[in-house]
Amino acid sequence: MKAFIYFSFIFLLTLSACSTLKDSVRIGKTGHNVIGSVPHVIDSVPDTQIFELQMNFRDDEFGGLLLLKKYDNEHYRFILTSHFGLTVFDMEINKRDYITHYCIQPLNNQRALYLLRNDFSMLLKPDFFPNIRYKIDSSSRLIALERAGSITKTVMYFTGYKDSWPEVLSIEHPHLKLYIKLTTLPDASASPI
Amino acid sequence: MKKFYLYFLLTFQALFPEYSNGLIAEDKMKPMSQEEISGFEQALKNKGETTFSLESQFVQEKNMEMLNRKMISKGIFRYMKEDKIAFLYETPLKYHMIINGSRLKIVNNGKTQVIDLKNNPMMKEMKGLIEASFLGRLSGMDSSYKITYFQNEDKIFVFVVPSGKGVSEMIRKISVTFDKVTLDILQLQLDEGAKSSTIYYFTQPKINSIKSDESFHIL
Repeated sequence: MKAFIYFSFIFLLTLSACSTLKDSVRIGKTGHNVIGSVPHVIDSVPDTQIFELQMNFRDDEFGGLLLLKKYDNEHYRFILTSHFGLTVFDMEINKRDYITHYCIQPLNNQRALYLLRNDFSMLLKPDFFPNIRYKIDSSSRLIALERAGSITKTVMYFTGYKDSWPEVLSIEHPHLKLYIKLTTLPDASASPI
Repeated sequence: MKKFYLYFLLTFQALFPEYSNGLIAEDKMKPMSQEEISGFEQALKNKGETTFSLESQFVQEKNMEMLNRKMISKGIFRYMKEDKIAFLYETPLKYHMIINGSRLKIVNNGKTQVIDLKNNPMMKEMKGLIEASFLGRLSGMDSSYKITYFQNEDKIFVFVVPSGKGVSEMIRKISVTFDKVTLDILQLQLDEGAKSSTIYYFTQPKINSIKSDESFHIL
Protein backbone atom coordinates (compact mmCIF):
# COMPACT_ATOMS: atom_id res chain seq x y z
CA MET A 1 0.00 0.00 0.00
CA LYS A 2 2.84 2.38 0.92
CA ALA A 3 4.55 1.62 -2.37
CA PHE A 4 1.34 2.35 -4.26
CA ILE A 5 0.96 5.72 -2.56
CA TYR A 6 4.61 6.52 -3.19
CA PHE A 7 4.42 5.68 -6.89
CA SER A 8 1.13 7.51 -7.25
CA PHE A 9 2.72 10.57 -5.74
CA ILE A 10 5.74 10.34 -8.05
CA PHE A 11 3.43 9.83 -11.02
CA LEU A 12 1.39 12.87 -10.05
CA LEU A 13 4.50 14.98 -9.64
CA THR A 14 5.82 13.84 -13.00
CA LEU A 15 2.51 14.48 -14.66
CA SER A 16 2.17 17.91 -13.15
CA ALA A 17 5.67 18.86 -14.21
CA CYS A 18 4.79 18.33 -17.89
CA SER A 19 3.28 21.32 -19.60
CA THR A 20 0.18 20.62 -21.65
CA LEU A 21 0.54 23.90 -23.54
CA LYS A 22 2.23 23.45 -26.90
CA ASP A 23 4.55 26.22 -28.07
CA SER A 24 4.36 27.89 -24.69
CA VAL A 25 6.74 30.60 -23.55
CA ARG A 26 7.95 31.85 -20.20
CA ILE A 27 9.04 35.22 -18.92
CA GLY A 28 12.76 35.83 -19.22
CA LYS A 29 15.43 38.09 -20.59
CA THR A 30 17.21 35.86 -23.06
CA GLY A 31 16.85 32.50 -24.75
CA HIS A 32 14.35 30.54 -26.79
CA ASN A 33 10.62 30.74 -26.07
CA VAL A 34 11.03 33.68 -23.78
CA ILE A 35 8.97 36.87 -23.56
CA GLY A 36 9.65 40.07 -21.67
CA SER A 37 6.17 40.63 -20.27
CA VAL A 38 2.71 39.10 -20.37
CA PRO A 39 -0.40 40.84 -21.69
CA HIS A 40 -3.24 41.25 -19.21
CA VAL A 41 -6.62 39.56 -19.66
CA ILE A 42 -8.84 41.75 -17.49
CA ASP A 43 -9.49 45.33 -18.40
CA SER A 44 -8.17 47.47 -15.57
CA VAL A 45 -10.12 50.59 -16.51
CA PRO A 46 -13.72 49.94 -15.36
CA ASP A 47 -14.51 50.51 -11.72
CA THR A 48 -16.77 47.46 -11.57
CA GLN A 49 -17.07 44.46 -13.85
CA ILE A 50 -19.50 41.57 -13.75
CA PHE A 51 -18.95 38.04 -14.98
CA GLU A 52 -21.23 35.08 -15.16
CA LEU A 53 -19.56 32.30 -13.18
CA GLN A 54 -20.00 28.59 -13.81
CA MET A 55 -18.24 26.33 -11.36
CA ASN A 56 -17.96 22.56 -11.61
CA PHE A 57 -16.40 20.60 -8.79
CA ARG A 58 -16.45 16.86 -9.43
CA ASP A 59 -20.16 16.14 -9.94
CA ASP A 60 -21.41 19.40 -8.44
CA GLU A 61 -22.31 22.51 -10.38
CA PHE A 62 -22.90 26.05 -9.29
CA GLY A 63 -23.78 29.18 -11.23
CA GLY A 64 -23.70 32.80 -10.13
CA LEU A 65 -22.45 36.30 -10.79
CA LEU A 66 -18.95 37.44 -9.94
CA LEU A 67 -18.39 41.12 -9.29
CA LEU A 68 -14.95 42.59 -9.60
CA LYS A 69 -14.44 45.99 -8.07
CA LYS A 70 -11.23 47.90 -8.54
CA TYR A 71 -9.91 50.22 -5.86
CA ASP A 72 -6.33 51.21 -6.56
CA ASN A 73 -3.46 49.57 -8.31
CA GLU A 74 -3.42 45.86 -7.53
CA HIS A 75 -6.21 46.32 -4.99
CA TYR A 76 -9.43 44.55 -5.92
CA ARG A 77 -12.51 43.01 -4.42
CA PHE A 78 -14.24 39.87 -5.69
CA ILE A 79 -17.80 39.11 -4.70
CA LEU A 80 -19.64 36.02 -5.84
CA THR A 81 -23.41 36.01 -5.57
CA SER A 82 -25.91 33.38 -6.52
CA HIS A 83 -28.39 34.25 -9.26
CA PHE A 84 -30.90 34.81 -6.47
CA GLY A 85 -28.79 37.44 -4.83
CA LEU A 86 -27.15 35.65 -1.94
CA THR A 87 -23.53 36.50 -1.34
CA VAL A 88 -21.35 33.39 -1.55
CA PHE A 89 -18.03 35.02 -0.78
CA ASP A 90 -16.57 38.48 -0.57
CA MET A 91 -12.81 38.64 -0.90
CA GLU A 92 -10.40 41.56 -1.07
CA ILE A 93 -7.02 41.15 -2.72
CA ASN A 94 -4.11 43.54 -2.66
CA LYS A 95 -0.46 43.17 -3.65
CA ARG A 96 0.53 40.65 -1.02
CA ASP A 97 -2.45 39.93 1.14
CA TYR A 98 -6.06 38.89 0.94
CA ILE A 99 -8.97 39.44 3.28
CA THR A 100 -12.08 37.30 3.36
CA HIS A 101 -14.91 39.65 4.32
CA TYR A 102 -17.55 36.98 4.09
CA CYS A 103 -17.89 33.39 3.01
CA ILE A 104 -20.77 30.97 3.37
CA GLN A 105 -20.03 28.07 5.65
CA PRO A 106 -19.75 25.26 3.07
CA LEU A 107 -16.95 27.13 1.29
CA ASN A 108 -15.29 28.67 4.32
CA ASN A 109 -12.18 26.57 4.12
CA GLN A 110 -8.70 28.06 4.26
CA ARG A 111 -7.35 25.94 1.41
CA ALA A 112 -10.33 26.63 -0.84
CA LEU A 113 -10.09 30.37 -0.23
CA TYR A 114 -6.33 30.34 -0.82
CA LEU A 115 -6.89 28.57 -4.13
CA LEU A 116 -9.44 31.19 -5.15
CA ARG A 117 -7.07 33.95 -4.11
CA ASN A 118 -4.34 32.45 -6.30
CA ASP A 119 -6.69 32.07 -9.25
CA PHE A 120 -7.96 35.62 -9.02
CA SER A 121 -4.45 36.97 -8.54
CA MET A 122 -3.34 35.25 -11.76
CA LEU A 123 -6.34 36.59 -13.62
CA LEU A 124 -5.50 40.10 -12.55
CA LYS A 125 -1.78 39.70 -12.98
CA PRO A 126 -0.82 36.73 -15.16
CA ASP A 127 2.79 36.88 -13.94
CA PHE A 128 1.73 36.84 -10.27
CA PHE A 129 3.72 33.62 -9.80
CA PRO A 130 7.15 33.00 -11.32
CA ASN A 131 6.69 29.44 -12.59
CA ILE A 132 4.04 30.05 -15.25
CA ARG A 133 4.13 29.15 -18.94
CA TYR A 134 2.13 31.19 -21.41
CA LYS A 135 0.68 30.76 -24.85
CA ILE A 136 0.49 33.90 -26.94
CA ASP A 137 -1.33 34.13 -30.28
CA SER A 138 -0.18 35.86 -33.45
CA SER A 139 -1.87 39.08 -32.30
CA SER A 140 0.24 39.07 -29.12
CA ARG A 141 -2.77 38.17 -26.98
CA LEU A 142 -2.55 35.76 -24.07
CA ILE A 143 -4.69 32.74 -24.89
CA ALA A 144 -3.58 30.31 -22.19
CA LEU A 145 -1.34 29.95 -19.18
CA GLU A 146 -0.27 27.04 -17.07
CA ARG A 147 1.08 27.00 -13.56
CA ALA A 148 2.77 23.78 -12.65
CA GLY A 149 2.02 22.28 -9.31
CA SER A 150 1.12 18.97 -7.82
CA ILE A 151 -2.46 18.93 -6.72
CA THR A 152 -3.08 22.61 -7.44
CA LYS A 153 -1.85 22.65 -11.02
CA THR A 154 -3.69 25.46 -12.81
CA VAL A 155 -4.48 25.92 -16.48
CA MET A 156 -6.33 28.98 -17.76
CA TYR A 157 -7.71 29.64 -21.21
CA PHE A 158 -8.75 33.04 -22.54
CA THR A 159 -11.02 33.02 -25.57
CA GLY A 160 -13.53 35.10 -27.52
CA TYR A 161 -11.39 38.21 -27.69
CA LYS A 162 -13.33 41.42 -28.31
CA ASP A 163 -11.80 44.88 -28.08
CA SER A 164 -8.52 43.53 -26.70
CA TRP A 165 -10.14 41.57 -23.87
CA PRO A 166 -11.32 37.95 -23.74
CA GLU A 167 -15.02 37.35 -23.16
CA VAL A 168 -14.47 33.89 -21.67
CA LEU A 169 -11.90 33.08 -19.00
CA SER A 170 -11.64 29.42 -18.03
CA ILE A 171 -9.79 28.24 -14.96
CA GLU A 172 -9.01 24.55 -14.64
CA HIS A 173 -7.57 22.58 -11.75
CA PRO A 174 -7.49 19.18 -13.42
CA HIS A 175 -6.17 17.24 -10.45
CA LEU A 176 -8.83 18.70 -8.19
CA LYS A 177 -11.49 18.32 -10.88
CA LEU A 178 -12.41 21.94 -10.31
CA TYR A 179 -13.40 24.01 -13.33
CA ILE A 180 -14.45 27.65 -13.28
CA LYS A 181 -15.70 29.54 -16.33
CA LEU A 182 -16.12 33.30 -16.30
CA THR A 183 -18.02 35.05 -19.07
CA THR A 184 -18.13 38.82 -19.28
CA LEU A 185 -21.56 40.38 -18.94
CA PRO A 186 -21.40 43.82 -20.49
CA ASP A 187 -25.05 44.63 -19.85
CA ALA A 188 -25.38 43.18 -16.41
CA SER A 189 -24.21 45.77 -13.98
CA ALA A 190 -27.43 47.70 -13.98
CA SER A 191 -28.33 51.09 -12.77
CA PRO A 192 -26.71 53.65 -10.53
CA ILE A 193 -28.45 54.11 -7.22
CA MET B 1 -24.65 16.46 0.02
CA LYS B 2 -22.64 19.62 -0.13
CA LYS B 3 -24.29 20.44 -3.42
CA PHE B 4 -27.71 20.19 -1.86
CA TYR B 5 -26.71 22.32 1.04
CA LEU B 6 -25.09 24.93 -1.14
CA TYR B 7 -27.97 25.15 -3.58
CA PHE B 8 -30.31 25.27 -0.74
CA LEU B 9 -28.75 28.19 0.89
CA LEU B 10 -27.96 30.02 -2.27
CA THR B 11 -31.31 29.51 -3.82
CA PHE B 12 -33.57 30.15 -0.94
CA GLN B 13 -31.88 32.52 1.33
CA ALA B 14 -31.94 35.19 -1.25
CA LEU B 15 -35.64 34.91 -1.64
CA PHE B 16 -36.43 36.56 1.62
CA PRO B 17 -36.38 40.21 2.31
CA GLU B 18 -35.85 42.70 5.03
CA TYR B 19 -36.59 46.33 5.42
CA SER B 20 -33.85 48.74 6.05
CA ASN B 21 -34.34 51.10 8.94
CA GLY B 22 -34.71 53.93 6.48
CA LEU B 23 -37.64 52.28 4.79
CA ILE B 24 -39.27 51.51 8.10
CA ALA B 25 -39.06 55.15 9.10
CA GLU B 26 -40.27 56.32 5.72
CA ASP B 27 -43.33 54.13 5.82
CA LYS B 28 -44.28 55.21 9.35
CA MET B 29 -45.16 51.73 10.40
CA LYS B 30 -47.10 50.88 13.50
CA PRO B 31 -47.24 47.51 15.20
CA MET B 32 -50.42 45.58 14.54
CA SER B 33 -52.65 44.50 17.42
CA GLN B 34 -53.30 40.81 18.03
CA GLU B 35 -56.80 41.29 16.67
CA GLU B 36 -55.50 42.93 13.51
CA ILE B 37 -52.95 40.13 13.05
CA SER B 38 -55.66 37.49 13.38
CA GLY B 39 -57.82 39.34 10.85
CA PHE B 40 -54.90 39.64 8.44
CA GLU B 41 -54.04 35.96 8.75
CA GLN B 42 -57.63 34.91 8.22
CA ALA B 43 -57.89 37.12 5.14
CA LEU B 44 -54.68 35.61 3.79
CA LYS B 45 -56.00 32.14 4.43
CA ASN B 46 -59.22 32.94 2.61
CA LYS B 47 -57.28 34.32 -0.32
CA GLY B 48 -55.04 31.25 -0.35
CA GLU B 49 -58.06 28.98 -0.59
CA THR B 50 -59.21 30.59 -3.81
CA THR B 51 -55.75 31.09 -5.32
CA PHE B 52 -54.81 28.14 -7.47
CA SER B 53 -52.08 29.87 -9.42
CA LEU B 54 -50.24 33.15 -9.47
CA GLU B 55 -47.99 34.77 -12.03
CA SER B 56 -46.21 38.08 -11.71
CA GLN B 57 -43.26 40.03 -13.04
CA PHE B 58 -40.39 40.54 -10.64
CA VAL B 59 -37.36 42.75 -10.39
CA GLN B 60 -34.54 41.58 -8.16
CA GLU B 61 -32.33 44.28 -6.74
CA LYS B 62 -29.08 43.36 -5.02
CA ASN B 63 -27.56 46.08 -2.86
CA MET B 64 -24.06 45.84 -1.47
CA GLU B 65 -22.35 48.16 0.91
CA MET B 66 -19.17 48.30 -1.15
CA LEU B 67 -20.89 48.98 -4.46
CA ASN B 68 -22.40 52.26 -5.46
CA ARG B 69 -24.67 50.50 -7.91
CA LYS B 70 -27.46 47.99 -7.70
CA MET B 71 -27.39 44.69 -9.50
CA ILE B 72 -30.70 44.22 -11.26
CA SER B 73 -32.21 40.99 -12.53
CA LYS B 74 -35.70 40.59 -13.99
CA GLY B 75 -38.01 37.73 -14.69
CA ILE B 76 -41.31 36.02 -14.07
CA PHE B 77 -42.49 34.40 -10.86
CA ARG B 78 -45.02 31.59 -11.02
CA TYR B 79 -46.82 29.64 -8.33
CA MET B 80 -49.27 26.80 -8.73
CA LYS B 81 -51.05 25.00 -5.96
CA GLU B 82 -49.96 23.07 -3.91
CA ASP B 83 -46.23 23.15 -4.09
CA LYS B 84 -45.02 24.42 -7.43
CA ILE B 85 -42.87 27.54 -7.53
CA ALA B 86 -40.84 28.94 -10.41
CA PHE B 87 -38.44 31.86 -10.74
CA LEU B 88 -37.78 32.39 -14.43
CA TYR B 89 -34.99 34.93 -14.83
CA GLU B 90 -34.85 36.62 -18.19
CA THR B 91 -32.17 39.30 -17.72
CA PRO B 92 -29.24 39.68 -17.47
CA LEU B 93 -29.17 35.91 -17.94
CA LYS B 94 -31.73 33.26 -18.66
CA TYR B 95 -31.82 31.20 -15.50
CA HIS B 96 -34.74 29.12 -14.29
CA MET B 97 -35.36 27.69 -10.85
CA ILE B 98 -38.39 25.45 -10.57
CA ILE B 99 -39.60 23.67 -7.45
CA ASN B 100 -42.15 20.93 -7.86
CA GLY B 101 -42.90 19.02 -4.68
CA SER B 102 -39.66 17.75 -3.26
CA ARG B 103 -37.59 18.40 -6.35
CA LEU B 104 -35.72 21.43 -7.57
CA LYS B 105 -34.76 21.99 -11.19
CA ILE B 106 -32.16 24.52 -12.27
CA VAL B 107 -31.88 25.42 -15.95
CA ASN B 108 -28.81 27.44 -16.77
CA ASN B 109 -27.19 27.94 -20.16
CA GLY B 110 -29.32 25.17 -21.59
CA LYS B 111 -28.09 22.72 -18.94
CA THR B 112 -30.58 21.16 -16.57
CA GLN B 113 -29.85 20.03 -13.06
CA VAL B 114 -32.37 18.29 -10.84
CA ILE B 115 -31.90 18.12 -7.09
CA ASP B 116 -33.97 15.99 -4.77
CA LEU B 117 -34.86 17.99 -1.70
CA LYS B 118 -36.18 15.07 0.33
CA ASN B 119 -32.97 14.10 2.04
CA ASN B 120 -31.98 17.57 3.08
CA PRO B 121 -33.66 18.98 6.18
CA MET B 122 -32.15 22.40 5.57
CA MET B 123 -33.54 22.52 2.08
CA LYS B 124 -36.90 21.42 3.34
CA GLU B 125 -36.92 24.22 5.87
CA MET B 126 -36.06 26.78 3.23
CA LYS B 127 -38.76 25.54 0.91
CA GLY B 128 -41.20 25.92 3.78
CA LEU B 129 -40.02 29.49 4.24
CA ILE B 130 -40.65 30.33 0.60
CA GLU B 131 -44.06 28.82 0.60
CA ALA B 132 -44.97 30.53 3.84
CA SER B 133 -43.95 33.90 2.48
CA PHE B 134 -45.56 33.56 -0.89
CA LEU B 135 -48.64 31.75 0.18
CA GLY B 136 -49.33 33.69 3.34
CA ARG B 137 -48.66 30.88 5.77
CA LEU B 138 -46.28 32.80 7.95
CA SER B 139 -48.22 32.26 11.11
CA GLY B 140 -47.89 28.52 10.65
CA MET B 141 -44.11 28.63 10.81
CA ASP B 142 -42.36 26.98 13.71
CA SER B 143 -40.86 28.66 16.75
CA SER B 144 -37.40 29.02 15.22
CA TYR B 145 -38.66 32.17 13.50
CA LYS B 146 -39.65 35.30 15.32
CA ILE B 147 -42.42 37.02 13.39
CA THR B 148 -43.65 40.55 13.90
CA TYR B 149 -46.39 42.47 12.08
CA PHE B 150 -46.54 46.17 11.25
CA GLN B 151 -48.75 48.33 9.08
CA ASN B 152 -49.11 51.76 7.61
CA GLU B 153 -51.96 53.30 5.65
CA ASP B 154 -51.86 50.95 2.69
CA LYS B 155 -49.41 48.17 3.45
CA ILE B 156 -48.78 45.37 5.90
CA PHE B 157 -45.22 44.44 6.77
CA VAL B 158 -44.25 41.07 8.14
CA PHE B 159 -40.74 40.67 9.56
CA VAL B 160 -39.28 37.24 10.03
CA VAL B 161 -36.11 36.80 12.07
CA PRO B 162 -34.68 33.30 11.90
CA SER B 163 -33.05 31.98 15.04
CA GLY B 164 -32.13 28.48 13.86
CA LYS B 165 -28.37 28.13 13.57
CA GLY B 166 -28.07 27.22 9.88
CA VAL B 167 -30.40 29.89 8.54
CA SER B 168 -29.60 32.73 10.92
CA GLU B 169 -25.90 32.58 10.06
CA MET B 170 -26.78 33.74 6.59
CA ILE B 171 -30.08 35.58 6.92
CA ARG B 172 -30.32 38.35 9.42
CA LYS B 173 -33.86 39.41 8.69
CA ILE B 174 -36.63 38.72 6.21
CA SER B 175 -39.49 41.02 5.35
CA VAL B 176 -42.60 40.64 3.30
CA THR B 177 -44.75 43.59 2.24
CA PHE B 178 -48.41 43.01 1.44
CA ASP B 179 -50.90 45.33 -0.20
CA LYS B 180 -53.41 45.99 2.56
CA VAL B 181 -56.41 45.75 0.25
CA THR B 182 -55.54 43.06 -2.27
CA LEU B 183 -53.13 41.16 0.03
CA ASP B 184 -50.78 40.79 -2.94
CA ILE B 185 -47.11 40.48 -2.03
CA LEU B 186 -45.45 43.67 -3.23
CA GLN B 187 -41.93 43.16 -1.98
CA LEU B 188 -39.64 40.66 -0.38
CA GLN B 189 -36.39 41.75 1.14
CA LEU B 190 -33.52 39.72 2.49
CA ASP B 191 -30.89 41.16 4.77
CA GLU B 192 -27.80 39.02 4.78
CA GLY B 193 -24.97 38.69 7.21
CA ALA B 194 -22.72 39.93 4.43
CA LYS B 195 -23.85 43.55 4.76
CA SER B 196 -25.93 43.25 1.66
CA SER B 197 -29.59 42.94 0.88
CA THR B 198 -31.72 41.66 -1.95
CA ILE B 199 -35.13 43.10 -2.70
CA TYR B 200 -37.70 41.46 -4.96
CA TYR B 201 -40.40 43.72 -6.34
CA PHE B 202 -43.47 41.94 -7.67
CA THR B 203 -45.76 43.64 -10.18
CA GLN B 204 -48.68 42.81 -12.46
CA PRO B 205 -49.96 39.84 -10.46
CA LYS B 206 -52.34 37.55 -12.33
CA ILE B 207 -54.39 35.26 -10.13
CA ASN B 208 -55.50 31.87 -11.48
CA SER B 209 -54.26 32.66 -14.97
CA ILE B 210 -52.00 29.60 -15.34
CA LYS B 211 -54.02 26.86 -16.94
CA SER B 212 -51.43 24.10 -17.17
CA ASP B 213 -48.66 22.92 -14.89
CA GLU B 214 -46.42 22.22 -17.88
CA SER B 215 -43.88 24.87 -16.97
CA PHE B 216 -43.31 23.19 -13.61
CA HIS B 217 -42.50 19.78 -15.03
CA ILE B 218 -39.33 18.20 -13.75
CA LEU B 219 -37.97 15.18 -15.58
